[in-house]
Amino acid sequence: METTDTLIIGAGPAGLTTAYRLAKAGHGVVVIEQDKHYVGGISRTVSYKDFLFDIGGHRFFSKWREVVALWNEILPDDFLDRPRLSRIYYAGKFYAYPLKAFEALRNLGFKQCLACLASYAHARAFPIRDPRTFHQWMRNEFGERLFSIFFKTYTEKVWGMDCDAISADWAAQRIKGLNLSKAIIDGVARSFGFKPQGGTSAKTLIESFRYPRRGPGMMWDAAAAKIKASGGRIAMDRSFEKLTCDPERRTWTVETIGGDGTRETFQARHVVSSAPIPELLAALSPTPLTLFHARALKYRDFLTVVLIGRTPRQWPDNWIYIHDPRVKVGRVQNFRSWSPEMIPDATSTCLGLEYFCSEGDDLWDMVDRDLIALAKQEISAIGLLRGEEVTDACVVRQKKAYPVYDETYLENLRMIRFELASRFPALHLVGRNACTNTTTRIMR
Amino acid sequence: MMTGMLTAANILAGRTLYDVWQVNEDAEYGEAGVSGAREALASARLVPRRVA
Repeated sequence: METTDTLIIGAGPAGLTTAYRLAKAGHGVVVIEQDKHYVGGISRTVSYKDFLFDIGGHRFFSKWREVVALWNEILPDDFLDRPRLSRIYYAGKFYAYPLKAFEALRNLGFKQCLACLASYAHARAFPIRDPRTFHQWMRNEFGERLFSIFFKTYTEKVWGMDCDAISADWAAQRIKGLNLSKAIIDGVARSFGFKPQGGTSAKTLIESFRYPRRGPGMMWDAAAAKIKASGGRIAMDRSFEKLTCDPERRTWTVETIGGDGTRETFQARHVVSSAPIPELLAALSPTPLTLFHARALKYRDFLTVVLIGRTPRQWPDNWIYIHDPRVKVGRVQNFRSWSPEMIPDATSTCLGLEYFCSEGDDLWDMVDRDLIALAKQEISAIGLLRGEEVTDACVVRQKKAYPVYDETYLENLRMIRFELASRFPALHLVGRNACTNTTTRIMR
Repeated sequence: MMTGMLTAANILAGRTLYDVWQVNEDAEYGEAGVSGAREALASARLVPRRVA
C-alpha cells in the first residue's frame, strides 16, 4: 500500500491544477487517471497521424489574474494569440451571432426574408400571453420562422431537450440584449452613417484568445512534467473502485484497478475528485445517503468525427454552429484556425464534426465506420467538404462531457454537497462535474 | 482550474478558506481581492429549467 498526503482522481485541468499547487508546496500527491496515454481530460489534445485535435475546442480566456499567471508559469513559451471567429452556418451561408439584421436578411434571400418579417410581425401583433416555454418566449421575440432557423435545432441538439420542455425564464436570461426591432433600427441608422449609441449592437464577434500552439494538451503535459519533477506521481490507465473513509484515523483508503487488471491501494489524508459525481458516490464507503440524488444527475456525451482532406473551400472560423435540422452534426471545428501547428502540412483541411449525444443512444452506439460514413454524408450535404475530398477520418469519443443543468440539477447538487461536507470533510470535489461550467469550453 | 487552485489552498491551510462549491466559473470578476474569488463565489449561474 502506498501512502501519500493527497490522492487526486483525474488528470484533467482541475486535478492537475490541484496537484501542481500541492506538489509545488512540497505536499505529497498521487494522481490517478483512467486514460492510458493522455493527460488533460476533456482538454487533452488527441493525435492521429500527426494531426492534432482538441475535444470541443478550448479557448484560454480568464478574468482571474491568478489563473492567467498559472498558465504563464506552466507554459511560458508556447502560447499563441489567436483571433476568434465563430458563426452560424445555415443553408450555405454564414451568419454572425448575435445576428446582424442586414447580413441575416441579405443571406436569407428576399422570399425567406419576407416570410421571416411576416412571422415576426404576426408574433408581435399576437403575442402568446405569459410565455412558459423557451419556444413560446422566442417565438414572441423573433417570430416562429426565425426561431426555427436560428434557435430551435441547435438548442435541442445541445441539451437533448425539446424547446417546448425548456422553460421561458432561461431564454429570457440567455438572450437578453438581443432585440430584433432594435437591431433593425441600428442597422438602418448605420446605413445612413449614424453610429448606434453605446456601440453594443455593432460589437464585433472577432476577439482574441490564447491557445497553446500544439493544442490545450500541451499545457497539461507540461503541468504533469512539473508535478513529477516536484516529486508527485501520475498513475495512468487506472481507475478507482472503492474509496473508504476512516473517520477515527482520519484517513482514506482508495482501491484502484489498472487497465491490465493490476490492483493497487493507496492511503491518503485527503482525496480530491474530478470524477463525475454519480461514479464517485457509487464507490464511497460508507454509502452516502444522497447516492439517489447523485444518480439523478444527468450528463451529455460528445463525439467528434474528424475528417481530413483537401478542398479549395476555406473559411476562417474556429468553429461554426450547424443550424440545419436535416443533419445531426451540431458544430464543426476547423482545427487549422485554432493553430496552424494542429495540421502537419500546409494544405490539408482537418474538420471535427461534433455530435452531442447520450451514452447508449443511437449515435453513441454507432460503430466508427458508420459514424464516418454519416459525417461524410452530412458534411457534403451542408456543402463544406465533398465526400470524395475526404482522405482520412477517425472518431474521438468523450463520455460525460458536460452536466445537463435541468430543473433538478441544483437541488440534487445542494443535497449531495451538504452530506459530503458533513460526513466526508477530507473529500474535495473539483472541476466542471463538481460545480459548474457551460458547454462552451473556456479554460479559466 | 479555479476550483483546483482554491482546493489546494484549503488543503495546505488545513481548513476551509474557500467554499469551492460556490465557484461559478461563468461569473464576471473584478480585479480586486483574492483574484476575484469573492465575486465568483457570490454569483449564481444560469440553467435551463423544465416548464413547471
